[in-house]
Amino acid sequence: MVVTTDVLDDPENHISTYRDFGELYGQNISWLTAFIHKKISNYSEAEDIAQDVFERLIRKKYHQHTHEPIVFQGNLRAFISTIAKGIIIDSWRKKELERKYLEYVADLQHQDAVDCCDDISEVVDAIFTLDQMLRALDDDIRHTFILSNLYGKTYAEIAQQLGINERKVKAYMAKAMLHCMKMRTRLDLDQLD
Amino acid sequence: MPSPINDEILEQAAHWYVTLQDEQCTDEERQKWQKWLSEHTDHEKAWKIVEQIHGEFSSLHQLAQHDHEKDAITQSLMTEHKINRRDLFGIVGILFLGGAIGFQQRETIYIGYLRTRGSEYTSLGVQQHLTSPSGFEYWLNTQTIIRQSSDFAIELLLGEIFIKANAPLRQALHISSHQVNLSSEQAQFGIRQQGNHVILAVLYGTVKLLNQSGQHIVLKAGQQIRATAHTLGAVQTLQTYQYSWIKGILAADNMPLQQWADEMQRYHDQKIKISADASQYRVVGLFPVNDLPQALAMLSNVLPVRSQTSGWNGILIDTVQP
Repeated sequence: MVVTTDVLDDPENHISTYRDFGELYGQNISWLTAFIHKKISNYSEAEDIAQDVFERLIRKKYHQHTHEPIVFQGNLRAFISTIAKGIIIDSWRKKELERKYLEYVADLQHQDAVDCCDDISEVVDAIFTLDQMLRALDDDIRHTFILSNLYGKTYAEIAQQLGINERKVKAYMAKAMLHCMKMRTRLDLDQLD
Repeated sequence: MPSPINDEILEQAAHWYVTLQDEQCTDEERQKWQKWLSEHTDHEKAWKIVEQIHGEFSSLHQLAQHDHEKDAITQSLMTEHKINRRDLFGIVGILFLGGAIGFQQRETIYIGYLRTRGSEYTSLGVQQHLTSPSGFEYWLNTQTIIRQSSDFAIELLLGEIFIKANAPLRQALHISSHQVNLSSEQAQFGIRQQGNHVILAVLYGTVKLLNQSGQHIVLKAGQQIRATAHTLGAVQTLQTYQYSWIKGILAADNMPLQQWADEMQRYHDQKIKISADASQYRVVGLFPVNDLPQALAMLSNVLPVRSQTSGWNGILIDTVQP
């Protein structure tokens, strides 16, 4: 049961309390699915995204060790739909990455993209993850990191290819790794255990 | 919950990573790195993160073995996308909230959405039967979310799961919930999350349960227990309804009518209410969980009750006046 305390009619002061995650889920899943479905035409994809939202919400609360009851202050619907938006954007971005990747492969191979790759979902997943981690880095730093990790090039080779000195390559490598590590530790999603 | 590793240690780890990646790395440096690694558990934790990040590339390395594929990946990662994130937020912002997303929220979204892999879910009134390549079967009950972090580890985030491992597994299967951790090598058992507790019901084999406070118990076939993060209830005899749902059935054995309604409610949108008079009854019988009209008709056959629609989207079960 939701107890909503309405103070001065300001949505920021709403407090929603749920007995457990089951209740939170049960009372919010249908409007959220409908809401997402309005924005993206595919219903089963809308269902997937709605589930994803709750998975994140529960994991987040879980890792904060927030046990019963579950309390939200502020506009819960706005909060939940904001998370949904993030996921919708990511799903778009993933599609965009997939399209781009197929284009590039086709270009480089001079043949039809559809013929060449039967299952690229794993590759696209991996590109997406790396893209999230590396996107904020400057081009040269990102490129350095990719050349080293994906092609296994030595620092000397990278320095030559990018026209910079080795000292700089090392500095870029450290910067890129540190950035990725910070992204990871803040994430809390992939726990180290 | 792992405590955050401080930035200085992350910097040291990044430095060692750069050193070790260098083909000119000397034995002396490797020994220094080993020493650093063993100095503090946080050093080890930080190094694990380095390995994970390196691992993201390694998996891609295996997937894309041809140079043209690597080149395509590089191009994908190096190209600015036509729709950049700010534009996307613009579009979506207008669509959703009229553009009212603060900078802070943007950052949260940006960082928070590396997609989690390996999760499964079920919607209202849906049971799903799945088979794991690791040698066990599992069922998800209505409104359940799980995350499978590895072949032998499942995190139950919401709802109820039933595991069937009739033959010994290669290694123990671990199920974790907010409150407890379970492990078993060969068993049929169900775990259900309800409020701040879980109910573990074992049909076959044995299951170890450990709660957050470190209390533990080994449950055998025919037993069930209720546990919270900090308490263990008494071991009880297994009740059939704890696992009959995998066949789509609610097995009521002298079950109070209110509990029957609560159980059926899990699968249905309509609000099921019991009148005060009717709540004195107890129910015996097998009811289809996904067919409410049928279940209600069956209920009227075994008890002097009838159901009627009540209000908007509700059903009231009341006694039949003699």
